[in-house]
Amino acid sequence: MLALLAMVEDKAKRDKLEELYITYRKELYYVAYHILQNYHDAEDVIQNAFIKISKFLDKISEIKCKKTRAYLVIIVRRLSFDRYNEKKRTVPIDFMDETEEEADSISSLDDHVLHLERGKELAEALSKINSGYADILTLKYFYELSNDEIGDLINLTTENVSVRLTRAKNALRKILSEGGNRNE
Amino acid sequence: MNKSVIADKEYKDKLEDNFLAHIGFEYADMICDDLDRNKDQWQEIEIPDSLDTWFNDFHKLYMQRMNRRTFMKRLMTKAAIFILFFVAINYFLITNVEAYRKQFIKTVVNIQQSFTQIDFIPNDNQNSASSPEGWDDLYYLSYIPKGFKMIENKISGPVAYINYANDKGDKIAFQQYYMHVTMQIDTEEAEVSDVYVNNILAKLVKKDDSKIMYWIQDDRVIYVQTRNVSLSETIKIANSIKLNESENSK
Repeated sequence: MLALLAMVEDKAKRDKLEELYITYRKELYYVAYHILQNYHDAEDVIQNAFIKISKFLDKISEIKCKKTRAYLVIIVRRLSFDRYNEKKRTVPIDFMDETEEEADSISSLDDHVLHLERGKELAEALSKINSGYADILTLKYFYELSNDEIGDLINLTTENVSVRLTRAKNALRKILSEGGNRNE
Repeated sequence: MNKSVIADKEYKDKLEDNFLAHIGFEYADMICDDLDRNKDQWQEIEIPDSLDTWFNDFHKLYMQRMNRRTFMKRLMTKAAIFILFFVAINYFLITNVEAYRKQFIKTVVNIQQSFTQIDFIPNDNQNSASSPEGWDDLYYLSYIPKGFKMIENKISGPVAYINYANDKGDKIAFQQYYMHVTMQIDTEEAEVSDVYVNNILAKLVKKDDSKIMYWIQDDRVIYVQTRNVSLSETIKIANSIKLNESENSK
């Protein structure tokens, strides 16, 4: 009985991977091409993305939903930027290098957490500053991935993921404090 | 930090996590809206055949890997059920069937990553001994050290005896006499002491490489002699004495 259940589960996983590819290949390819402007590179990125996605299929519960769609786009976009930087031999410069300490970030964010109606506005502001910050925060808190899993998905070390999360929070804190008076 | 401060921090952390998750939710929504705005562009894009071919190959490999994993899971489940069944049957047989218990076998089960191996190894360390045939209402030794075999047994009037020997020529003699028989034991230059056999006081005579133990058990005198067998083994042999009850006496 257990073996049968295991077989059914694995079959479901296989179908899930295939369905993901069929459903989203066009838009994912478009996202990758839009960044890289090169068909071969876009193809490589999609291949790499699906290899990575296959390792974390358990994280996807439903195929045709916004959550899954955005998840795949974030992964493909991050891998595309990674590929782009690799080709250009450039090191991405993060928006905020002055501090990587999180000491004040919690309390600062905490002052604003009740402004839920500002969620969309904050997401937009953060993605405009650095889409990488918005991506990593979303993977961490919305998709509830661990730092290890994020690192594995978007080619970063766990330490790097941690540093970027701190920077993303600091960027958000800055947005909140700059726009804080507007809502009061 | 007291408990209320910790609880307060935990609550704020949770609140902050939810706040960030909410921003993530809005951000995911935004990504989808952006894609929908550009629907015309990505819907017209041509996916290269090489990408589809790659995915088909990758999918096949993925399926093979999954099948292998499923096969291993099934194999391990079957092995686990078999082992449980095997242990249960053995337990039942060992506890309920005398003959099986006497012929106890050592089972070595090696479960390895790629296969299950079960080895049945006849127990070379077989230390249990049984009574000779026709040994009704007589005592016998249920423990004999490794390598010893019964070479002789006899019931002669008031005496019944069994002799064991190993390949090296070491011997164990086990005798039982009805109490009206007079025994003579050579204790010259021997070390004589008292020991207990199954809570019965017994005499132990150590002389050269020989050890003799004798005591009174019910209506009989029991005599155990070993040669080139350690003291602890001799005592263990003596303690293994059992009465082979006949069907009539049960």
